[in-house]
Amino acid sequence: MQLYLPIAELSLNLFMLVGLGGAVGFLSGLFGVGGGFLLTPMLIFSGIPAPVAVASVTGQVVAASTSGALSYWRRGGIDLKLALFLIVSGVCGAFLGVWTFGQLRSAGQLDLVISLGYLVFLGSIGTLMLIEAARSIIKHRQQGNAPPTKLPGKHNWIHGLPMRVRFKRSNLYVSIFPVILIGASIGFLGSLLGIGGGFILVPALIYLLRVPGSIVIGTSLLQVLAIMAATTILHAINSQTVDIVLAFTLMTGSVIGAQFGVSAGQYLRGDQLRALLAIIVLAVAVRFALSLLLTPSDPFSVAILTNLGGG
Amino acid sequence: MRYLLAVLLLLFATGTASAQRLVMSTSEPVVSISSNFAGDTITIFGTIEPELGRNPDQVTNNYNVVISIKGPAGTYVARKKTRQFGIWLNGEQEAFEGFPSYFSLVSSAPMDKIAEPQVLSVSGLAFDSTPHIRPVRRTQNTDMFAQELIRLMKKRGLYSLDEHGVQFLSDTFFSARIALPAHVPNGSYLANTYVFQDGKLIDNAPQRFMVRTVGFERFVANSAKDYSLLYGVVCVILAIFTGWLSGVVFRR
Repeated sequence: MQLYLPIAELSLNLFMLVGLGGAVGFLSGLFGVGGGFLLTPMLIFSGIPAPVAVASVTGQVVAASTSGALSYWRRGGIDLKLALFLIVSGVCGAFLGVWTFGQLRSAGQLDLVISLGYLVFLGSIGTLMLIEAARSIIKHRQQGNAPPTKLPGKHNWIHGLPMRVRFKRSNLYVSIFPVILIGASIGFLGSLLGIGGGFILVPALIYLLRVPGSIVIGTSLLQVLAIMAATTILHAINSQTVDIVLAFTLMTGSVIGAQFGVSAGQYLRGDQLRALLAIIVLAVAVRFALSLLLTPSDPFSVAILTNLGGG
Repeated sequence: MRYLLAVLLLLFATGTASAQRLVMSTSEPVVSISSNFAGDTITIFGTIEPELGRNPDQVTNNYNVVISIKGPAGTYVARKKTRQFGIWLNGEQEAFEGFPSYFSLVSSAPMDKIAEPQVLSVSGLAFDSTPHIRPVRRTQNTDMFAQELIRLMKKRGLYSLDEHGVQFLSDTFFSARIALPAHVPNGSYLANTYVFQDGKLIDNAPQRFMVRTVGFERFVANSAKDYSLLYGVVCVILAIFTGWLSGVVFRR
């Protein structure tokens, strides 16, 4: 059954879209990530224009993060003050990201920057995750039972920076500069690449700020939710490329898929999950690398600069 | 198709009454795009009447018909990827103004049998004829980029040439079916019918029709354009509601 997408101005198979949302939702439930980094490229590969794919996935990420954020909220797993700092800086980053998005789009380099951005971020994060997970799996094999991962020291150079603020819930006393920088970078990247950025934010909060594990997921989900909500509105105003039909179809599939992902995740160990996620992340990065490095089958491309006078 | 009878009646009624030689019409004045739109076919009918004062029996009916259907025009840019620093990125580009977003040519015979290329080109009956190729800045590569742009539009199914698409049902009555793909741009379309005889253009008649979204799809597309802030807010509320509902339903 074909479904007409009014903003993308093309028809795609409804079951394919719900299935795509479901598959990504399954993975996001399994790994506890938003899944935007998988969904956006898949939509682009299935023929949806990159601007529409990026902007519509932001809407889908809002839905995917909401149920998770709510359940952490009930359990008290959110540091509201830290989330507020991250959100305010993140929205500023998102403003910059959406503006850059528009500039790159008219310069004809949006696709390139999206490809390069995915390649760099997915490539580096995927490699780091794979190394970390492999070490952990090897340790597990050798010792039979892995000891809880201990973070080296409570403080690093970041904790020596000035203008410190106390975050009670996270038991942190840290300079606001790294917090603002992390928030703004995630907002910028998320709006530019159509990803929630949870898979960058969580390691950044853990390894750079030393946010405790019980707080980090909920706080990151809340930040992603707020930033993606703001980004959706910014894209709607700035580029008018948010396709509500596409976004709703994807989110319906993904919230259902996520339930199965969560149950499936209980049968796998944490390090195995991380290794699997790392492989998927790397596969997407390789796909982008190939599109940049291999001689394109068609070196020419066409884009429309002005909106047609629609009736 | 329910228009068919009405159109036929109308054609014969007006055709006999006026001195105009060519009368044509489209099957649908508005092509509606709804949620299950997967492309559509429109039919164009026409009749060629002999000139007044001439005996119909003496008329030699070696007419040829070419129909051009053009969608709303926009500024299109063709880009060429080149290898720089080891990666492929968009390098050279050329922009073309007033470039039709959809262009279909259907004829009753191969184009080269109907008229000389110059004759066709003057009437805009070639994809690369001068009226359609208006580069923003002309360079030495303009022609190459124009050809590539046309090739890409053909590949997307938005430009097409069908040299047997016009069928003569009698000596003077013809019809043509034109397929509009699912990703056809919205807007105002111009169907222009040209009648050739012995390699010369003897008459032409234009007819406009609209391709537009209807109902919910039209509402969505218009809201996104006219009330973009509200539209964005509604998207976010819908997303939060969907996320909340799934949390309630599945009790995570």
